[in-house]
Amino acid sequence: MTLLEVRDLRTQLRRRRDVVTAVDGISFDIAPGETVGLVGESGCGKTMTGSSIMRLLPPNGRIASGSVRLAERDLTGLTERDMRQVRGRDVAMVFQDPMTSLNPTMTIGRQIIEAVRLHRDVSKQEARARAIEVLGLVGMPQPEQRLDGHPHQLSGGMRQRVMIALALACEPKLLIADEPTTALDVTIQAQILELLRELRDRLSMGVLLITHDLGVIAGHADRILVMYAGRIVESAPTRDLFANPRHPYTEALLGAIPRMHTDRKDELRAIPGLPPDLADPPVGCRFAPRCTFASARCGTEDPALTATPRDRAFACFHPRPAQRPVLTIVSREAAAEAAAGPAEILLEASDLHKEYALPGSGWGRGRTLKAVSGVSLTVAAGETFALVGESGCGKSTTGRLLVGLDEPTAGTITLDGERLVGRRRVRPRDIQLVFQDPSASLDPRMKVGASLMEPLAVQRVGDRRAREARIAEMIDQVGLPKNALERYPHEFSGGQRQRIGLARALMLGPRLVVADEPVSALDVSVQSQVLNLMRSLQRSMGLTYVVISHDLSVVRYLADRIGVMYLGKLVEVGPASRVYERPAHPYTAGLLEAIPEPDPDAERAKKAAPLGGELPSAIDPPSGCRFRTRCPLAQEICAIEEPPLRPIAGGQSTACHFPLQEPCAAEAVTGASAG
Amino acid sequence: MTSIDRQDAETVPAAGPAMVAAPAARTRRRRGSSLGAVFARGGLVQGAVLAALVLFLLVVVVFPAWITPGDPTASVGGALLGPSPTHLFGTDSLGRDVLTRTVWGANPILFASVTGILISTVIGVSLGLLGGMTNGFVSGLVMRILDVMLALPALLIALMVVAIVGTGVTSIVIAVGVAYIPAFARVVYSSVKRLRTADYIAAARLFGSSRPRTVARHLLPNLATEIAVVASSAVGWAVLTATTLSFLGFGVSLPAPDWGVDLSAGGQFLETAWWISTFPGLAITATILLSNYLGDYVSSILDPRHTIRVRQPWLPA
Repeated sequence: MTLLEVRDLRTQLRRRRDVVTAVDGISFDIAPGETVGLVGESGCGKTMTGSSIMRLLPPNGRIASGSVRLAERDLTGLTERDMRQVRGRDVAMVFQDPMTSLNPTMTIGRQIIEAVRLHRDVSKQEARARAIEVLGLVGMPQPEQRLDGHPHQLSGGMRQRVMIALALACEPKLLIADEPTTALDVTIQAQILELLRELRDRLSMGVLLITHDLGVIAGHADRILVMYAGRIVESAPTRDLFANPRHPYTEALLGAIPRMHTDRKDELRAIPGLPPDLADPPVGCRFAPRCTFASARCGTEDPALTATPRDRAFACFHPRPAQRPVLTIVSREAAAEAAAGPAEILLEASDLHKEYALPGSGWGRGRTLKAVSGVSLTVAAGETFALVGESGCGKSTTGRLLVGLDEPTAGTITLDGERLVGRRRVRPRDIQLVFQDPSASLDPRMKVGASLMEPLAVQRVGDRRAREARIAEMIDQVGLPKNALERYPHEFSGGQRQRIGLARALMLGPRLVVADEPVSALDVSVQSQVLNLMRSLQRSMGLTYVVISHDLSVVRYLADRIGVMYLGKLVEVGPASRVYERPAHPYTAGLLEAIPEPDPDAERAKKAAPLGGELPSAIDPPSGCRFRTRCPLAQEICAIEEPPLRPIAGGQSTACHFPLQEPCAAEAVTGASAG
Repeated sequence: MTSIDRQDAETVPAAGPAMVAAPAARTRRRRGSSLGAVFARGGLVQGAVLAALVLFLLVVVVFPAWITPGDPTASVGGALLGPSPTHLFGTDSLGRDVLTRTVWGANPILFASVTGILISTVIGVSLGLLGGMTNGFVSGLVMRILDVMLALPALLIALMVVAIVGTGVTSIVIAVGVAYIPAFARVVYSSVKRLRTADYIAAARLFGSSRPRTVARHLLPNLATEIAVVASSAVGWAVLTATTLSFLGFGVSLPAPDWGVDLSAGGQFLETAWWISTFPGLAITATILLSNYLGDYVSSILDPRHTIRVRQPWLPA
């Protein structure tokens, strides 16, 4: 039995001068109780597929042909009025950003009640009871009280729960979840995905899970559709797809993800180029221009989606071999082995504190937000130190303190033994920052060439010719063509903009580069390009990196040493390989457990969401150990005494009363400065 | 329902052109940046009509003799003659041609409003930058001064200026210039507050750009659109303030032609000779309308997403 049957769906968007075929003749089925994953890069038509099923297309969009049958009923033929009945009752949707999809001026209760009453002939009281019931169903603590709250009073994870509650209010048969966890932290992501799975089983819904994250999909989808340039290029059961991708695009996508167990010496595989413009797609196979296996035939003839045994289908003339040993990642250039022996210390931060005064609600005692409370770390020359943690843990603030954008409330930062303080804390020629959002960090009114010229002009480096030569050298180093200099930032894609941001940060030849979430705004395939670039630049220019990221797989790929932050404090520091293999702090262990891995078997073997709850408030942190409210091992002492950062074997240190690894008694307590 | 809201929100890229996905960005490059395409955003026909009208107004202001060669202060025949083929707009109480006076009368008003707006743009933008880029005392001082100015109607400020400087076109220029300072300062101040936390400003700080340099290289270019949009609308308000002041007798001295003066002079003959006041009045209305349309047009070509809010802060009482 099938629940949803999409046949030859074609959706077009009219633009001023041309028509974009965002979805170009796709067909697939979803059975009740089944989760089908839809993956691909951004701009490949994933979201448009979801919107077409819901018939929630933008005003310039229309379904050009094909059918969408939900339980034997063709949705494309319904009137808008009938369709409104279907939405919410039969099909519901959960979006990426719960803040923009909830109405900020209405209480949560009213929004759910409204949704219920729209589809069911019930009284207000009954609808209210139903609202409480669904809020309970999605794991909202104290649902009765939450009903009268507004969306802004909730955290991101709780808002997403409300969104799901809203979608489930009328028990739809099909749930379309469009990047439901992309905006959330890993630990919260694990909770939400777990919730979706549980609800699917309980209500035997069909779920269409749209995401760019292969890790998310590995553990939660039964079947996967890979979409590229408006078409489905491969479809297969999850396990088969991961074990043995047949389409080169699928293979490339899988190769581009930094895996937890990838050898750090290997380069990530990057997919060169960008998806085509769908107003004017290339003739023949649409992936051919980016495909390493493309032949002359691919450029002229369009491969059809051909079914093979075992429920698989792919559209390629040169599929990857059907049976192969485990996918080996081709190493193009082995990374230079990190210099042995103790390197000299470049940057040292000791006991950094940063507090922000909050506007007080009355006279006098304004409260303070303690973003960073006592972080000490050392970074050796040439190494990559990574700061990881959930959002709100103070890692970005620490980064801003290190580069000198903010002045610490207390504590010192020294570079090469020289204290950075006051106006002297900004060191343009020594420390630079790479920003998270490359579109916000480049002046929109400045051509790229001028943006790159600025640092040199400000610092009065060389004459005009020397500056131009330097710019030409850097733009080449980051892999952009020379004509890029004459263009404006908005003319570039996200990955290209991040390259420009890197080039600008490196213009003055700094020794230390702090990168704040350098790839989290980018697509997976582009992420790997930028990560590879960062590594090769580090080697060729002898850079020292401090990488700030919530993404532990990215960190794993880049970092030599890792500092795990929780609520303004470092809870664990150590060499990356040790921390990943033998986490000593329960928080680190939970964080590692929560990362979705692109490996269906490993993903399914995991126990339910490893870290419950959410980050407590930094205004009023818990007494004693700050992690105790979420810690599975917490005991009485944790509430009373704050554990100091103590060294354990292998150069690791951790701040825990009950570390998962034996503390090392021999070493003296030297804080985080274990190099 | 909420999901529909979301859909609408999704079709509008959240934060300006930078957020557009790569394929869209590519198309933009192909056709977006030529001057013709920029003007096409506001509509080519509208642009041509507006340009023609502005050009006409410019001729009226700079070379009034090209249109009406006669002397606006000379009597040309009988007093209070109605509109006729010889005197299209009629004559006034002293037998002067109303059409000639209306054409010549544009100069003092438009000179005063445009120059006044230029002055208030320069001072207002500077104050806005000063207030926005500083913290604590200086910023507070600037903003409190602006608050006081905002609390007083523009006309009252203008009257105070006239009281100090005396009457004449120059004092109207100064009056308009002072009165519209808060309009610019406020807009610039709030944008600077928003922009100064932008990543690219932080990046400039990190490579050691001094504050004045950051303002000149990064802030002002990003504010230019906003300033242009506000200025082109503000001219309309300034015309109203300038005519009001000259209506009250603070502008040019008789017998020189001026819309405000003539409007006021015709007031006592409204029942017998409506044309004396009506034609200068229509000229004022048309100019203000033109300025408003121009403001809309400038805004639609420079700011197609309508992110800038031009509020009419206060109308002269």
